[in-house]
Amino acid sequence: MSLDEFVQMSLTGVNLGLMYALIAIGLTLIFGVMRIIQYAHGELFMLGAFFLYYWFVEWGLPYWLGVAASAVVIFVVGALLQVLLFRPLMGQSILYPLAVSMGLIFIISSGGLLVFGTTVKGIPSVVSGGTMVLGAFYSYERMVISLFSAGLIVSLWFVLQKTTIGMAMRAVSEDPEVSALQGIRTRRIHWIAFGMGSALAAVAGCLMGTLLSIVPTMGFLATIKAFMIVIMGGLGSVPGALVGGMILGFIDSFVTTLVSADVAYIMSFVVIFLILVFRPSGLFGQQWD
Amino acid sequence: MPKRSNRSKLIGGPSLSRRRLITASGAAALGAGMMPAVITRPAKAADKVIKIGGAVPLSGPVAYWGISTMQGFVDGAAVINQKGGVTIAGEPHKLEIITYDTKGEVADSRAATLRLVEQDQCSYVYSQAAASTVGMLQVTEPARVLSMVACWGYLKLFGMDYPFHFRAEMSDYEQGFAYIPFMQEHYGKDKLQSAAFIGPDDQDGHDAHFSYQRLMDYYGIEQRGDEYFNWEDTDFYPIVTKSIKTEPDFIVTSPSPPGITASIVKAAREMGYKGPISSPAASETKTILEVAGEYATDVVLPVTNVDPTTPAQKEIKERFLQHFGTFNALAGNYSWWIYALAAAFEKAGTAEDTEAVANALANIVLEDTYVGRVAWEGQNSFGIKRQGVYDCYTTMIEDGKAYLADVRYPELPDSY
Repeated sequence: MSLDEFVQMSLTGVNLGLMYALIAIGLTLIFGVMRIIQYAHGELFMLGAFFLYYWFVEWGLPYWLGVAASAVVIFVVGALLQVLLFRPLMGQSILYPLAVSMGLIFIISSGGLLVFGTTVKGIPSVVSGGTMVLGAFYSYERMVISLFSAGLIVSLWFVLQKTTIGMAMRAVSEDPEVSALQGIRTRRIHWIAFGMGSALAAVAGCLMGTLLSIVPTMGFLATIKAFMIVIMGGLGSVPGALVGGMILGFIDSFVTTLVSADVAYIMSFVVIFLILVFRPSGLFGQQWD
Repeated sequence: MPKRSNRSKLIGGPSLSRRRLITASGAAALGAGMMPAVITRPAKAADKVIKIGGAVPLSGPVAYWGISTMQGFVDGAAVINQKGGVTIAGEPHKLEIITYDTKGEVADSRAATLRLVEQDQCSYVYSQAAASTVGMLQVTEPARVLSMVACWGYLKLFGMDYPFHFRAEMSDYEQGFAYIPFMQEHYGKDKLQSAAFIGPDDQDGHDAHFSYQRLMDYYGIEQRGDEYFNWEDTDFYPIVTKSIKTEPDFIVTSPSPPGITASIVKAAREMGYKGPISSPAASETKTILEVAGEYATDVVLPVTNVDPTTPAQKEIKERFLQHFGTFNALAGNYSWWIYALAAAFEKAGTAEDTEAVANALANIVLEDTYVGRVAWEGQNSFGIKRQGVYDCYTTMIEDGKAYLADVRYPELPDSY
């Protein structure tokens, strides 16, 4: 393997890893606060991408404003889902929210096919050109998307660590009952966390949709990958989701390039199994009952 | 572009019932989950009727292909019925189209075809894409039901042992005898000495690779690597990195839908690959232009007529736009199937004897369809003429603009 090939694969891995992390962080945030796996997370990722498509391509409105608008709209959608569908199931068996989120997958993706059509669509790039990095090509588009993703992850970390709402989220994540006794309005924290997690998925959808292409069925794979990352990194752990995303991104890039896409899939699961064997709660996770 | 005369009497015609067609196609778009079937019936109950059944994907990832195919049958039946129907032994017969959704699944297609054959009494059926075709054939051949499909691979399910099975869509193999000579003329034969293949990692992709190998061998082009992607792959950088490392003069990606073609083109161009990239299955330019943007250049799209020029082509486009609200080159490609079948009914003088209709259909030649001249070929290759071959309209995308670059009937070898 030459240096330029190594750099090319590394750049692709970083780019993929950051986007995977963005989807997974939303999922892990929802789990951390609410203790539910939102299997329809990928469907909100898809809705975010399609919102940007209509905003930018069909209506001709500014791109970056569209990314922000997509995040806001999907935040509201996520919050509403939490209040209307998941809140009534709090305290019930984990199977109930599981059934609801499974149902949402089919409703949203089938609805997407009806509303958006079956044709693959594309969101044109707003950044063109690129540069050579140690013999490897790095497009400005991928560079901007990577920086934006990294910036968003850092911002989220800052919010969780340094702001009142972030600390409240962490408190609810640690112990919801004690948090409530301390005066934290846990129901409010729940819909905010659900909305934030959904908004992160929407932003990831916008960025990946721009880089690649979009179709109403794109959510399923996003959920699978996000779930794999969350398991790898540890349920409820934001740093774990980032590290897990990077691991998956690098496996996708290196193994696909050097061997094949099939082997990359196998490798992803082998790595997850190994992590779970040696660290059953994931790389950064805690043991959940 | 060659002018065609002797326009088929079945093509064209006055405006149809807009409401009826919109209802039919709209219902199809709603998918099988909400509507079990799409049925377009002729106007009068007393008319003699020939039922044509469709088991096509109307929902799921390949619904775009299925809906486009169904539109051709719905539109064509309406046109033919408007003109009095098909005349068999002096008596008019109206066409009724019944379509079920297969979701692109083998099992669903088998069930839908069983329903068409046993419950709806259809002796003529159509399908789209490999999975639906495989499911359909499990029912149709033993029942001596004539099937018209778009399916490239699974060659074991085609030929002498499947005499009622017609493949109306040209596969990448037949297309190659049109677009490779075109590319050699366009770019220069010496500039296209080697090629690489990128396709999906499934039966279709491996069958397409087999076709590609035969084509490259025929034209003496060196093959430099074949790469396969999973349908779920999101980033094509790794695959394309590996492919262009072999330094091919051009890349063939097949069968890759427009979105995947666009992602491959974009990745290849971003990484500095300059050679042409052909995609025999994309058949659409809008998505490629949207996704690949400024990188969409030197993209060769066979059987993609983005610029209807003949009166018949313009009329079909206009009618589809009027009735369905949309039109795409793929729907145009499928629009002739029902006219060939209708012509076979008249030529055979029966709609009851499917063997007679099959024999008649094999010899039908249409001259002025959306894809120009159409005939059934493959006698030497498959032992039976069951493969549709037609003028290959090759569109090119250069510097972000799509244009019709070439029209030619495939220069098939004598052995075909």
